[in-house]
Amino acid sequence: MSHFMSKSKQPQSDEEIVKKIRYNNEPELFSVLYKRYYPKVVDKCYSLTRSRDLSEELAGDILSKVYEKLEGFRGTSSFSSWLYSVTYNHCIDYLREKNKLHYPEWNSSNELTEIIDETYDEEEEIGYDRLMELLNGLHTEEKALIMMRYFDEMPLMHIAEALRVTESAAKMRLKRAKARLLFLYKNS
Amino acid sequence: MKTNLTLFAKIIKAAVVRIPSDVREGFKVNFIGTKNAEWSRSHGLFEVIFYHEGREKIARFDGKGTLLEYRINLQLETIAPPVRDKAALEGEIMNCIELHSVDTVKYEFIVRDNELSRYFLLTDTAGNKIRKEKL
Repeated sequence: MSHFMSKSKQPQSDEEIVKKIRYNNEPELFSVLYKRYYPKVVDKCYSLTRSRDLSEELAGDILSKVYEKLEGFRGTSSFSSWLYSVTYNHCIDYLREKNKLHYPEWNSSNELTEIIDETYDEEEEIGYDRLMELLNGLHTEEKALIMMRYFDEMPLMHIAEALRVTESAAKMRLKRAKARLLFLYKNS
Repeated sequence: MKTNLTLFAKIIKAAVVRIPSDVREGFKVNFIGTKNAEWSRSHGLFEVIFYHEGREKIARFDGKGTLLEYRINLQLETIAPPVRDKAALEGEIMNCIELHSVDTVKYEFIVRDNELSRYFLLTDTAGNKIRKEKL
């Protein structure tokens, strides 16, 4: 978890800042969270939208939304997990509406011709750029699923909520996304 | 710090979960010829996601290997027309899962309306609505 130094030189956690905003009436402290997370939110948006300008615009919208919803932050997960969940939700909703993302149609026309053997030889190294390149071969919703589960280690229940799908659907789509990723890796 | 190697491996490789022999046997008996099974354990129950007869399925067992329920991911074109047609009255179908429990079969749909709001829809085998909730 990242920290910043306050006037008293004591690092403050995200959750401490949220508490101060909510209970001590110190809304100006949100600027600390904004500075801390804006670049990370932009990066996450970029990984889904592939547009830097759009990602900056979306990140601003997301952080404003989070500020407005701060009263609803239950603290059952970390602030960053909650923020990232809102980030994925906002980006996917945006892309579903503006880019007409339609997973069932895409999935139907990109069905793997056979069920591949999912064993993987650990000896070969996969660099980050290569991994992202492979992930770009997936549908954006599948990519988001993998990022939420394995990059941000979000529980499936939160992933399902963020993508507005059922938990069973999230599990099955994740399984399919992993199979497709392995297929792309083996055939590239 | 995690390396990219472990990140890729972590995505692809199934988590190692210790499964009692009774549970493995229960799985084998109920589902012959499965592929790519991935197990998880939660609240004393064992869940496996796998391919069977060309389809994705999720099955849940108790610790003695008794099959409690299983789900089948249906391609939209394979949904029985009467069920599909009734569900479609609730919105565009985005996903359909057939749920088999002890003595019933139900369908779990995700449907969306014209404003792209998404709903969970549960129906019986005739397509009659049991429950609908906003996702």
